[in-house]
Parts: sequence; structure tokens; C-alpha cells
Amino acid sequence: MQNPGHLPPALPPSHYLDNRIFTDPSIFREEQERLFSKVWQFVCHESELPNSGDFRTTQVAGKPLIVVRDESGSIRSFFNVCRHRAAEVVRSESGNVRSFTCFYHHWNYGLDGSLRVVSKPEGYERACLDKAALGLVPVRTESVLGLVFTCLDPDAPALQEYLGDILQPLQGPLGSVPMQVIHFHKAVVKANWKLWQDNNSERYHSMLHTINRSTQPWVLGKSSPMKLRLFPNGHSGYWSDGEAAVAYERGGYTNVTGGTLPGMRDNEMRVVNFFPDLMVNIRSNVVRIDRMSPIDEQHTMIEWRGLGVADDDAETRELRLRHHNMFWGPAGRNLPEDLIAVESQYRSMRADAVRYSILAREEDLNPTDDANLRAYYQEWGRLMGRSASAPFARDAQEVTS
Amino acid sequence: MSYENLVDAFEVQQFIQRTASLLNAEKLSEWVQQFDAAGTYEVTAYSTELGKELAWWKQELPLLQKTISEVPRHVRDPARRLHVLGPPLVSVTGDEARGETAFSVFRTLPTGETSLFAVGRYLDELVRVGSGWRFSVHRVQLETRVLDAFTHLPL
Repeated sequence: MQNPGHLPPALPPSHYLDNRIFTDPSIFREEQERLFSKVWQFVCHESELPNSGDFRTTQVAGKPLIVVRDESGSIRSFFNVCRHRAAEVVRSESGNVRSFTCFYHHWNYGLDGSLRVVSKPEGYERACLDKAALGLVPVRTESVLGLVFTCLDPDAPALQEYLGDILQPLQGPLGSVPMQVIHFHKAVVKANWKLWQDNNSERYHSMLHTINRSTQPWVLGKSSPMKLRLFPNGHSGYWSDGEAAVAYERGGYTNVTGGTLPGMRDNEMRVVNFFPDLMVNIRSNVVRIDRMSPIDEQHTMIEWRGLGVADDDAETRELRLRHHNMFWGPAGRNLPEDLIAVESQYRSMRADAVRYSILAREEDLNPTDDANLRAYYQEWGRLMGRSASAPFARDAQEVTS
Repeated sequence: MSYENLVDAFEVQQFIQRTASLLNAEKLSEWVQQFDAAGTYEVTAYSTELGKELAWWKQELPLLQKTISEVPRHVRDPARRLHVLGPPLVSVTGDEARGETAFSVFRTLPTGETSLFAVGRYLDELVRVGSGWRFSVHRVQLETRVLDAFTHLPL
């Protein structure tokens, strides 16, 4: 007899997920090829590379990258792999260099990636080694609103075309004054990467947060000035055109706001979710960016950045950091709860006792509507060639449309 | 070092050890009382990514008291924690003292598995209040920057 927990719910296929999209290692491997190797991926903020020679190392689709500001001020990216014998050219997370010298055999590359020096070059004369063809392998790199993205697919559309109008709510706070990363931390979360995006996308989970229940009563109301916004390519957001503001005073919190960012109202909150794995949350005076580097189907490295205005005075900087850390720091009020939730989900999903999750809330784009999740998994299904509700039904007829 | 100085240093050492012991027992309301009225609690970690020390938690006593009082209302990590401290290195000057104490925190899940959660140093500044000591700054400088679980609890 079939496990009743393996029976799909009596809902349209777009309104539920097969949890094996989170747990199956073959699906994860496909995601590396069909998602992360195809779409634009945020790698860092421009303020992390203020000077020529500043670099950051990171990974995209499991591949190691160097992101560097060159002599002309442009930001470039390369695979962090020496063309000689594949050692990592850079072994630290950040720094400043005039050029890159591989520690192993001392091949040297310019900030533009060109191979400048081969040690003991006479040994390559008979083989006619062509230095001009052996620069670091470049990766497409573009920036918008200070956000640096890379894309492994040479045929993908340009960054702004891919992102489209989802950038609109970020123009004011990220694009009006120079911003700077003022907070950074990271963790390996024991859950599939999509669950973190999922958590930030659905507002129904405000139930989880003690502070949100007291300071954001409109989230759980039947109607709200906050609305979900759906955009092409699986992007979505959540913000108000009206006067919805976080009511800190209802929770007894003072001295957390001030220094409101350009384009934001006092105590306003915006949530922007880029497909497939980047989140930008804004609380009036501080920005949080979540970047994921999936390790495997059950582990995800997440980097959290906090952004403030670059030329803040000390008092305003302190204010932003206090506000940020109160909710979003590793010892904040909300972030630990979110992690506990997704890791709990994941432990259950791995056991496969109950196979399906439900995305069936329809509320005319009220904040707790699941419409953005449905759009997200529809886009996931389109790129993966699988339905999120029936991922192992390879018949194209069954792919949710 | 005078006898009075030795006694002061011993009292400060005991005070720092007792602070950790209160966390082990999750006596959070008593832990907050270890602070002077103008005291500050701070957790910092050096970011190799940004090349600077970052504050992860910094609160003066009034907000700290509110935060700590709300811990029972949060959905929180169910693990128990054990702080293991090295001998505090203490210097006392009149009614002020400083302490540096290496510490580690072990995390034990409800299932009984234990793992090392964090290591770091307490960099403390204390003031004499009446016949005892209180923190003017209780600073937790973490070596560990990737935590296995985030925390509503002080470290």
C-alpha cells in the first residue's frame, strides 16, 4: 500500500511542490548546469573593490572566480585557475595586488587577466607556447546599482535585460548615493538553497517572528497596502506604494530608525527577490543582501551583507548597524528563526515521509499570497525542463505551464 | 602586587567565570545584572572579506535587557551550551579593571551530540560598584566566523 504521505494534494499542480526537488542530488547537479551556469549571479558590491587591484574570490556554479578592479577602473572576473597546472591563482578571500602570481610555479597575470610572465620561459621555446592565448579565462561581468554580477553563459541576455523592472524599487536606495558594505557574515546552512529563497519570498512566515508579529500587523491582515509584485524571469518583490510602515514603537523599540535612504519612506520595508538566488531586503535606513553558493543539495553557503551610505558619519553608521543587527545579524532577532525553520523543513524533507509542500494561497497579491512562489517555481521548471510538482515525470506534457 | 590588588584580581576573575556560568545555566536575567547601568555588550568578529572588525551585536543595557527578556518568546536553537574559559588575565587600577579571557562554547543538541560552536576572547572592562564589580564593556571577540547555528543567546 502506498504511503499516504506520498499522495499529491488535491490541488492544481502549480499549487504544490514535490519536496524531492530539494533533496535529490541529480536535480542539484542539473541545477548547476541549467540554472547557475546560465543566469546572472550576484558576486559582490562595487564598494568591496574600491581601488585598482582590489579583488574578491568567490564561486559561481561551483566554479572558483576572481573578481577584480583593473587599472582602468573596470571590474572583471576570471576563473581562479592557473592556466599552467590548474592551481588556484588567488588563495585569499580579498586583497589588493598589482598582478596575480600563481604560488605554485610563479606564472604571472595582469589585472586584465593576460599572461605576462612565465618563469623559466626557455623551457617552452621548443613547444612554441603562446602566452597571448593563455590568459586567465574571463567570465562575463556587469554591474547595476553597485551590484556586481557574473554570468557563465556567453549567450545569456545582458544583465539589465535579464533583471528588467525588478530594479525599479532599488533605484532610490541603491542608486542615488554611493553605498558601502558595512556588515558581512556567512554560514553553511543545512538545507537546500531554494528553501532560503523560498523563506524570504513568502510573507506568510511573519507568523514565525516575534518582532514582526508586533511591528508588522498589516502583514497578517486581510488586506494590506503592501503588495506582491511579479516580474518576468521569476523575479518578485513586495512593497507598498502607500504609507505602510514598520511600527517599531508597538514593539517597544526606539532609536532604530533615522538616516532614511533615498527613495525610501521612514520605517518603510521593501523585499526584492531575484531569480534564482539573490535577495535584497531594505528597512528604511539599511540594506541586506543575501547571496547563496549552493555546496550540494543539502548544504548552502550563504553570505549576508549589510549596506549603508558610504560617507556616513559615525553616529549614523552606528544607527544603521544597530537596526541591521537587531533583525538580520547572526545574533539578531529574526535571522536565527529563519534558519531554524528551513533546517527543520529540510530534515523532514530528507526523510520523505510527506512528499509534497503546498503553495495554494490566493489573495489578490496581498502579502501572504503565494503567487510569487508559484511564479518562481514555474520559472524553475521552465529552465530545468521539469515540473516542480512532478520532477520525475519527464513527459513534457506533465511540465506545469 | 598588594594583597588588596590580589583580592581585587581574584574577585574579577571569579566575576568573569560566574558570568559564563550564568549563561551555561541560562539564567539570563541574572546575566544582565552583571552589567553596570551604563554598560555595553558587544559581539565582534574580524571580516577577512572586508578587512575590518565588525560588530555583530552591540547594545547598551536598557535595550540589552529588553532583548534578553524576549528570548523566551523566540523560536530558538534548542541546544544547550557550555562555556569553557581559560584563566582570565586581569589588571586592576583603583576602581577599574580589565580582563582578557580565552573561551570556547560547546553546543549539545537534544539528541546528545556535542560540537564546538565558537571560540574567542572576552575583552572586558569593569568598574567597581559598591562592594562588587560590573561590566562597563563586556566584549566578545570571536575567532569563529561561521556559526553552526545563529543565536538569540549571548555568548
